[in-house]
Amino acid sequence: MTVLAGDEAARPPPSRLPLLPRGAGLAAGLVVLVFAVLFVWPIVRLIATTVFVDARGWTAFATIVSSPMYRTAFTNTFFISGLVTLITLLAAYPIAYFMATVQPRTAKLIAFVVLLPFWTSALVRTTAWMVLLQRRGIVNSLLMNTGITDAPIPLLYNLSGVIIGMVHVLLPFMVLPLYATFLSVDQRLIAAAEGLGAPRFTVLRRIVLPLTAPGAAAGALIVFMSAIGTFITPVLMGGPRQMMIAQAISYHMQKQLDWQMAGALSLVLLAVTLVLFLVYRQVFGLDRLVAADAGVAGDPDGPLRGVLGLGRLPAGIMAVAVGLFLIAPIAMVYPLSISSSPFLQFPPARWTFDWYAKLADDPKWLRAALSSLRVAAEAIALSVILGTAAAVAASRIAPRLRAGMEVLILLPMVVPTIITAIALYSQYAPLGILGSPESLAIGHTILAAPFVFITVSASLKSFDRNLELAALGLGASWSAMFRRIMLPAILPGILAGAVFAFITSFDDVVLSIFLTNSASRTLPRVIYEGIKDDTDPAVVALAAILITISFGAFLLSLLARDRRA
Amino acid sequence: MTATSKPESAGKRVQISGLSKLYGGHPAVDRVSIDIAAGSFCTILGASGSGKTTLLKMVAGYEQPTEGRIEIDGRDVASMRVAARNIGMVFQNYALFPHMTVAANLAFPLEMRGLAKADIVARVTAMLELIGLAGFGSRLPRELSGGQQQRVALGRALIFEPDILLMDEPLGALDKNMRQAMQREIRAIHRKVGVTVLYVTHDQDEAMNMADLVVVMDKGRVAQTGSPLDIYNAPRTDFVATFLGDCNLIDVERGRDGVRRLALAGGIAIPAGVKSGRAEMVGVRPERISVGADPIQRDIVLSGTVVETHFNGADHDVVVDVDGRPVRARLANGGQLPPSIGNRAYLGCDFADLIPLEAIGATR
Ligand SMILES: Nc1ncnc2c1ncn2[C@@H]1O[C@H](COP(=O)(O)OP(=O)(O)OP(=O)(O)O)[C@@H](O)[C@H]1O
Ligand SMILES: [Mg+2]
Repeated sequence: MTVLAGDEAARPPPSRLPLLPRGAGLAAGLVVLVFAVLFVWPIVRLIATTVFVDARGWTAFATIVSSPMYRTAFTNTFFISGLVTLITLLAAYPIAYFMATVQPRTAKLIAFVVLLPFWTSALVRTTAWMVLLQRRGIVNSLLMNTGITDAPIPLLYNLSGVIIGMVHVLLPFMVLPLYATFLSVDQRLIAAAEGLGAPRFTVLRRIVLPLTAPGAAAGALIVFMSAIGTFITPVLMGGPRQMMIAQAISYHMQKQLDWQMAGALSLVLLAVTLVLFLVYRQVFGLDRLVAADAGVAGDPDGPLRGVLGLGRLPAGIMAVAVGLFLIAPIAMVYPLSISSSPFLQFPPARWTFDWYAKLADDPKWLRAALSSLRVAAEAIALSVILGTAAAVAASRIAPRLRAGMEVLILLPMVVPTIITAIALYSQYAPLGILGSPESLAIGHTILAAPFVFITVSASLKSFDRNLELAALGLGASWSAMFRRIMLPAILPGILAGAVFAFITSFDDVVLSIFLTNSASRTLPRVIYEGIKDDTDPAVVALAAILITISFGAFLLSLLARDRRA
Repeated sequence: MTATSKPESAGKRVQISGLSKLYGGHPAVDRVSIDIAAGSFCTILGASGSGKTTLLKMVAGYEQPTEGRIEIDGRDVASMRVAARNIGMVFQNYALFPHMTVAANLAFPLEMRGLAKADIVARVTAMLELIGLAGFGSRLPRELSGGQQQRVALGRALIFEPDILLMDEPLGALDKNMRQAMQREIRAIHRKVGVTVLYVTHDQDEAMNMADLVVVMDKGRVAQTGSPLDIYNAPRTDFVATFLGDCNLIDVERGRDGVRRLALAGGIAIPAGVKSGRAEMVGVRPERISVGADPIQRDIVLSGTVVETHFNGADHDVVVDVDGRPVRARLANGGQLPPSIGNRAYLGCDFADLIPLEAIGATR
């Protein structure tokens, strides 16, 4: 597919504008080439050189089908993903509905709560959950103190742990498209149905539910697609019986050194993901994906307030409950980080800043932080350039080519990170660049460029094409036009993209596990190592710091969006 | 409306010949040929989708013609880049750079041409003066009214002294009074600057009262070219006759006896000497038809019942039903009132008022 896209993009499209298509085609071709070389090629190569090297290649697939271990991994993957999708759907509906029925200001606040976890590192949130859910953690103490149970319930390292963790990570992806659909429901339809004598519950069931079904379906597909590739959450919060495919891939690669099996499993996972992605694109179009991510918390200008009064109270209660579920683990990190108990019990015997002091004492934290920042800086610079070039070029080429280019550029967002990680690993290892911060920065650039592409594309959409024509007509060269006219107009999009890129890079743990070594490892990797077997209390102090940073980035992005609006 | 008072720095002649633009096999502009004299004001009039913008974009160099030539002062500009053509363009939505002040917008083309700072400042000041916005230089476009933004766009398109000025429905967004004021102002500036202007509009009054040359476009083709007076008084087709102003269309039939008759009131014979008699259709402008309650002494006299009257301020529109066909007459508001609805009215005009037309399909 890539080869085709590259081929077509390199040829300038039939004459449209005399001034640009050649340059746009060239830029598009270049971007496609970069993506092909840095992203698509390693994956293709990984599969080609591991699975189909000898006759045994095909038997790997037979093994997947016949061996109980893989069957369980697949069953687990689909069962857990399905369950997570269902739970997020059930939790998201009342919240989205409630958001659509309240005043815009309140809706914005709820959107903020929903998005906060989206911005805080998944690893940090997982850490928080692990502390809360452990045997002697807050949840269990609460249950025991209130007399609901006598003995602590095992909430971690089993199915409940995995489900809680994944729902927390994926819920925003469900709420946002659903909320957007609620806002787009034509209020006149509801008024008309009421005018025709339909009771309110009937209106809800017969009009609102069918009209919002596409949003729900879109959200469900996204959540399911992300869920089947999940790696970190089941590893940290599940038990051996919750092993999912991504974990199986990493197990084969790292522990068994059986690359053939890892490659075969990757191919299956990749195929399923790509099919889901193409279905999504066919049914909902990529525009929605773009809107859901870039327009986050879309501007609630048409709430169903007044028209949809029914069931606001239960929906509101549900919304508050879900909101607490989203916020609590993040908020609890702060008190926990100053608890004296090394087992992070709550409430602690006394308060202390020891853990923060420990962070300062051990140089590994600072070294990791600096490494993280360095990688993030490089990734931001590269992904901003790549994503912006891609967005500008895509907006200037023929629609048919643009469609192909969009798919290619959004692909890194869709392909399970574990696959990207081992593909890059197998690509870099023989080149001898494994472990260098730059190799990780390139990986992060690929992960982050789609976000920049999305935000810049969104701001380009509102850029008046005539401004460009006018500037060129007034004597500006294309580069002068870009610098003086286009850049100021799309700057908010670029800034928002840069913030996304920072978050993507600064939070990533999967690529970091595979691409760094003990000298270059990043903060998330150190955290991961610090909580994998036993929770190091210093990690919680670090989590508090990281959450504060994410919070700042989130606020920054909101400011950038306001400026864009 | 004459081009006699030409200033010294006249613009350049624009010759368009056989120009076509196909979009997916469908012609947006279809074999258009126009010759625009240096320094003249040419309006391009046409319905929505008739290819006006496409034509302008090809002249500016934003679109590549599928076929045909554009020459500026005899030089083929096909291979010339947009900026090299030295053309100023005013976009329909102004396309002012929103993040730059008025002065910065005006200075932009000069900076791109590498002029010295002091020179730029002087020229910007002079231009602000010319467009009547002295003292507005430090404002942002969004802090201006629609008419003021329009003036900035005009100033920006003129400040680098282009040979040709293109305007795409520049007054479309303004209210009627503002439009008329701007029309006068643009004319005045044109007289002062002397640039060749191509001005796209779909407002017929605007097309006529601003132009030296009017080009009427229909479905990508040129329907007719001429001075406003020519186009109005001697439209060649029923399309042009009805697109510019109102016109009564009357079929001409040839009887078995060889006599030509107007298909009206049982057939009015046209004397052999009348030139327009050979056309298949004739038109009569409503203002050429006199209307009254009493019979009138004219070559052609008709009578019927008044079915509609409208008062437009300057005149009355009277629609009279003549044997089942509505005929529209216009009576100047000179104190005399037209017969009221339901009453009998006499209409009259001369053979000289008949305009011979080719029937290609009227617009309304
Ligand atoms: N880029 C394009 N691609 C395909 N078709 C186009 C394109 N630009 C214009 N057209 C078509 O060409 C025809 C002429 O369009 P054009 O914009 O020149 O009309 P116009 O006379 O300026 O109309 P308006 O008064 O509405 O501005 C229309 O049918 C339009 O749909
Ligand atoms: Mg137009």
